[in-house]
Amino acid sequence: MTSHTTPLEYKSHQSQMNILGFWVFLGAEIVLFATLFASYFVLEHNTAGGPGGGADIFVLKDVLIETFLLLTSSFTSGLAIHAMRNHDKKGLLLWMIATLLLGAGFLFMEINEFLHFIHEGATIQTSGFTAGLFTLLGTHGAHVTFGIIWISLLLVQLVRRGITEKTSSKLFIASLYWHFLDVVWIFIFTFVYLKGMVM
Amino acid sequence: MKKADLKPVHMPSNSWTPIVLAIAFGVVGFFLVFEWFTLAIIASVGIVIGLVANTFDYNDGYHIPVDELEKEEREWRGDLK
Repeated sequence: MTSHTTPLEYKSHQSQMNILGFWVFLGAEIVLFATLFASYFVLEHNTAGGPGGGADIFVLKDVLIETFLLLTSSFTSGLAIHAMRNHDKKGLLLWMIATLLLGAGFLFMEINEFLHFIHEGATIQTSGFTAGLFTLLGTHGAHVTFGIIWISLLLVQLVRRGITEKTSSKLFIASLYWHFLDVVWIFIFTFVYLKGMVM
Repeated sequence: MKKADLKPVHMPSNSWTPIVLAIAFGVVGFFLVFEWFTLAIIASVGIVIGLVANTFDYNDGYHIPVDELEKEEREWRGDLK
């Protein structure tokens, strides 16, 4: 049921179904990442003569910068949706661009981190530990890359068409995706990096 | 079923993007299994084209009107006229 207080992105039946469908997709994504986390936990002690665990290769300062970049980008995408609800096209556009730049900054840090791992002698083929690590981090990073391209294409449509029932539901769905990537990163930060540094 | 119960049926419009994406994903997956990365990258262009075309497609489909539904139903059940 829609009323005059229903947000624009929920107005049409089609949009409601799209948003519901995307929640189902996020459920499937949770299964994907749960599988990768489980694989990592099983493999992390199999170091096969390579680096002996997270404490040997992780640089906590860089991980903190990555975390702050990604968490801030989630906050700015929230501000973007807030602007969208106020029919503020310029605010929506600017906060989404800020989100994309922070996301790109995160990716830059992560690629440098991967180069650092490789320099330390930890490639995806070194051991069970590094294979699990690169697969988990790489899948998350690939999702961020995909999200940046996706939101960029949506912003082109926003500039052309303005905030409509259709564009608002698309951007809302993209923001759900972005927050989801943030949640996955919280788990990576806690159970890969902090656990790797401490235990 | 009474005629009053009939509602217009929503249908998607014809589109070339789903079939292109289905084939491209299948082909890329095949190449990745055998680690033929050059071919996989080339075939990935099909995925990119399909996804980009799909996001710029604003056609939400159409509705089959009640009159046409009734006619179709009667023809199939053989009690037309």
